[in-house]
Amino acid sequence: MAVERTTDWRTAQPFSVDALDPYYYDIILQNLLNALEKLPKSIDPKALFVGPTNTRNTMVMSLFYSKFYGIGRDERMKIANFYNKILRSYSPKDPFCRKGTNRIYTEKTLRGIVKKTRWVAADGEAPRELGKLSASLAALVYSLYTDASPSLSGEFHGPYDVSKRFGRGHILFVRDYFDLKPIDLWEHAKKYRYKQVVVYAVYKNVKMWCDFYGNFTPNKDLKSNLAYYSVTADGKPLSGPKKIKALSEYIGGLTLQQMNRINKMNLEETKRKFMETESLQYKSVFRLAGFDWRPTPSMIKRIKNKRLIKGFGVWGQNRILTEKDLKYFRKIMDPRTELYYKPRVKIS
Amino acid sequence: MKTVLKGTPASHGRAEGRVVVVRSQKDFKKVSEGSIVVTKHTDPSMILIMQKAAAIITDQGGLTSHAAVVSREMGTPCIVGTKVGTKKLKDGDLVEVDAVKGTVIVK
Repeated sequence: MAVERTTDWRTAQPFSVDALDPYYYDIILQNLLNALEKLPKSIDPKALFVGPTNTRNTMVMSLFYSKFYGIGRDERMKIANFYNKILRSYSPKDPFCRKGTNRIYTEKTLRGIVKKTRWVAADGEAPRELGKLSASLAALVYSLYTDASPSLSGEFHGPYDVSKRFGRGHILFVRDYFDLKPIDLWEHAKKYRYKQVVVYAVYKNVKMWCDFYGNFTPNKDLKSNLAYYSVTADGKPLSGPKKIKALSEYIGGLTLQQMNRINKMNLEETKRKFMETESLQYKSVFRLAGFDWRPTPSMIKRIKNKRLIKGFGVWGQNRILTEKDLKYFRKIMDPRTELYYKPRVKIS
Repeated sequence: MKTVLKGTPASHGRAEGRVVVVRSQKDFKKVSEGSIVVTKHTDPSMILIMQKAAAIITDQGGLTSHAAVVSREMGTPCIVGTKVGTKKLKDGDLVEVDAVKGTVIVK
């Protein structure tokens, strides 16, 4: 989990997850354990979360809080095995991104995508406009889902070797923003023009490394190493710098409106929205088990008029973690150990 | 010329330009094409000024912060976690940003 070392939680928006989660995550965990008893055995594991990145994110929270709340070993193992099964169904070769990949296309799907996609050579203004579009999309996602759960919006996946089609050293990287209209969270989003935007980018001689949380780090500048690209909006191709620029501006406008909306919310409203966003991650699991995904009345009561917690988590010490912190964190995250998490601050 | 800031290179590249320190939305209008944006940390409302910036420098943030992710997408040089960027630099400073080494030099 090298990302723990590279993350500064002070920049999390509107606040770090551990500022609120300790008040109510035991209720989510109990609901999850109840849901595990009720889920149909025949269910496709991929139907339970929106994607592997979101699955890994919720896995971390579930395992960590099961140690904080002192949940027993058998139940912890049930939770761990549940997530493990889902992640292996998505990506059997690298379920936890230890090899730096997040590949969800099968060979057959990849061949189909490469063959059917209308590829455009990345010349002139295209790399710059595509970079702006990707940045605008990332900003819209943060404004809609905040740091509570940006992975609900989509999946970044790859890198895929596409050298057979494009020549030696070419990789495909896919940014699939599959939910830019989260109407469960924001009713006004139903007016948004597009639900899904997919950016297919083929880079030459670039290496991409994916961490456990779905953050991709390239070893070279993406803009100058982009070779081919394709953009689709709700399934329709949208290629050419002018069309991409127009989409980018539209997305940028939505982001500003959304940020203004967020900035007008008071702390109580912000806390409630944050909790809703986190709860939305479990929507499919709970629904398939016959429960509602929305925060329960007790969860709402737990956060009402409560202060934001400071310095709770291993990650919440307002600094980049040391090697010693990470070692401790790994032990806490291991469901087999009996090491329980004891925060330095009091939760009340 | 001396190195006044060090931080974590989050999006590789080099740039030179005039500093604009952004402390609130009121400062957005100061940013023009090619500005070196210096701020505590970025948020989504800053997307348009980030698109204009020649480089981005933040006090806080790691390789997975908003500033880092957005800068990498745009290919804009970015140094995060300088701790004191907004204190040491001021509007109009001519700086050389080396987002490979993670250094900022005032010229």
